[in-house]
Amino acid sequence: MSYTKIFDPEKCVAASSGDTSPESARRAGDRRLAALYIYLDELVLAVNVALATGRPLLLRGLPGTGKSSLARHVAECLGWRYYEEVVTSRTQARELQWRFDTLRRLSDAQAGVLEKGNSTRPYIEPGVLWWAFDRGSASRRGLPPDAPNIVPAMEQGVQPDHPRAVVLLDEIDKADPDVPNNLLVTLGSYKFSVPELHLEVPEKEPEGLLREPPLIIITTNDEREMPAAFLRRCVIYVLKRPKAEKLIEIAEAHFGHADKELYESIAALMQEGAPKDDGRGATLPSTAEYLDAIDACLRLGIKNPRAKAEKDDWKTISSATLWKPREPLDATA
Amino acid sequence: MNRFCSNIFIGDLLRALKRLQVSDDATRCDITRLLGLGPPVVPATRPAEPPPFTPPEPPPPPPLPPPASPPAQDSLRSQIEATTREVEVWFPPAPVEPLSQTGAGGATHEPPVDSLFVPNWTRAILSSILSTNGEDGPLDYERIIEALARAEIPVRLPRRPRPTTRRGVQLLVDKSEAMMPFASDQTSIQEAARRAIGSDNVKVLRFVDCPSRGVRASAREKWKDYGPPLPGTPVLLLTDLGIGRPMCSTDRADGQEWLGFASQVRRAGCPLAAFVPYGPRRWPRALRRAMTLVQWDRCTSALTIRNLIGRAHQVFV
Repeated sequence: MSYTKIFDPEKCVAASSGDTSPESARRAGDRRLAALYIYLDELVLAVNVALATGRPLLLRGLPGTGKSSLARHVAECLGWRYYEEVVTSRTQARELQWRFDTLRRLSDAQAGVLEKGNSTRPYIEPGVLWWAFDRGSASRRGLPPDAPNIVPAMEQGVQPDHPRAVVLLDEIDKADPDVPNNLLVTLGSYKFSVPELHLEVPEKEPEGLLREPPLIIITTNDEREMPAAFLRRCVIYVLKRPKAEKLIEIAEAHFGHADKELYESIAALMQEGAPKDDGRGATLPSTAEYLDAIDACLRLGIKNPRAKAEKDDWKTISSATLWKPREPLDATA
Repeated sequence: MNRFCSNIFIGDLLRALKRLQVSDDATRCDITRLLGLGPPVVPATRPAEPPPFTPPEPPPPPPLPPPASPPAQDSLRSQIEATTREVEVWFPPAPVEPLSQTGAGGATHEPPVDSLFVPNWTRAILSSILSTNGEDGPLDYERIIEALARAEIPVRLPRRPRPTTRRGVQLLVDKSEAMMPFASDQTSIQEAARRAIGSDNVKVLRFVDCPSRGVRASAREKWKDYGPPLPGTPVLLLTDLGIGRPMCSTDRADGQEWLGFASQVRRAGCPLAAFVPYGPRRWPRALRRAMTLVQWDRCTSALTIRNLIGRAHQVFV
């Protein structure tokens, strides 16, 4: 592939690379701590296309293939701000923009402690998209620039001064079908309004770097189909389950090169024991689970699970836990 | 920045190629594909298309018989035979295309069958019929003010209902003989429901004649008594309500049996609806009030459902 990369994981600003310390190994598989990420060339291209076009990047793929951890790693590589929202079945599109804390306001009204002339702003809680689109007005809740700033809890460990941001909207397929459709205009225009404050976000037409939109990364496990209009507006990339060679490469990046035989053994056993897809939802182990299995082996001093003495245990463990078939309760009895 | 409100199209491709300064065709193709603009990719598992039918080459025309000098006794018959032969030489018989062609596996290609619902409307129809009123909409200020005016402190803030499909669905599929012509539609509805509201939210049970006679999740399981789902979960029947069975059939579930089943579901606090592949004139009159009956036909749209149940089923849980 020959092109000029806007995002190049080999030129990370902040993320540590090649850190195989015990602490880093302990964090393997935790998507919130993006110390390491092994990229495929196609995935790097997909991120660059999303950045070049200003379109959201929709990541599809099975659980554990690295969808959620990508966003934070990209943010750390680029040195941008980072926000995330895990979507649930109750999430509404507006909550990604702002929330209104009605309960606290009612409580304050009962107690008679409402601020005169400012009875609404203190109860507005900016959502991830507000922070990403216009951090200044989000931190002031739309008040004049001399108002005290409120630093969001979600900005831990990121670079708050950078004008651009990465936003992760995780597992959007969990939301009601209307939610993706309700986000079309906001994610298309990178603008929205807050009627309670008579405020447009962003407050003023962005200039310079601010004119560049944030990178929105959306993940889906394909548990439900996304609306066609939503799909037509996204750069779509499918993260596939890595093959054995790639798994070993990932393990080496996380745990070092000393135990390559162990990585190969576990990768081979996972491939050997993989059940055929019988349409009943048997779930294959993911990269995260592969890394966790290696971590467990290293901690327990198991050097080669294929060895005779350990093989029987491994058979039991793999059939019991790794494949996680979703049998009906009656059928497994 | 409003230009991004539209679908991805050539403008996005131009921006990507310019900003990334792409210099090879493979990367250009990859970018085109990522933007969903490339030609459709034929899946590798797709069976090979049969070769297009090409008529065999006509045989070279035989040399015309030399014009014979007409004998004196040349009959009309010989003239006709000569003329016919000449016509056959210049216009060989047209090759006949076989009626059916077999695929690589020897299976015949069956003509596609139209689905009962308009395919593009199915998702909206299902989303509508499976929506219940979730009590998590905006605050219901009228009710709050009313309570405060009576000097009552609301224990729970009343909210306006908002349609949601998060409660999932219990899908009851009629596997009786009379529903066999609609088996593929039943399957497509199950798949569409899984795509629309998520696999984990769709619980499929099979029954014959009436769910009250027993249900099972798959053919490997034993029949067991029917039990309604959690309160508030919609129950959707894919059935003909016995309409397709002969009137004299002794096994046919009668109206009372269906009413008993509907009553059981209603007592559990679950909204009940049915997709029926026959017109309203044939629906049992007694069942019209017991459940939401929807004509499983191309005349039905999401608006039809809205006219029947409003924006969502009203549940009180």
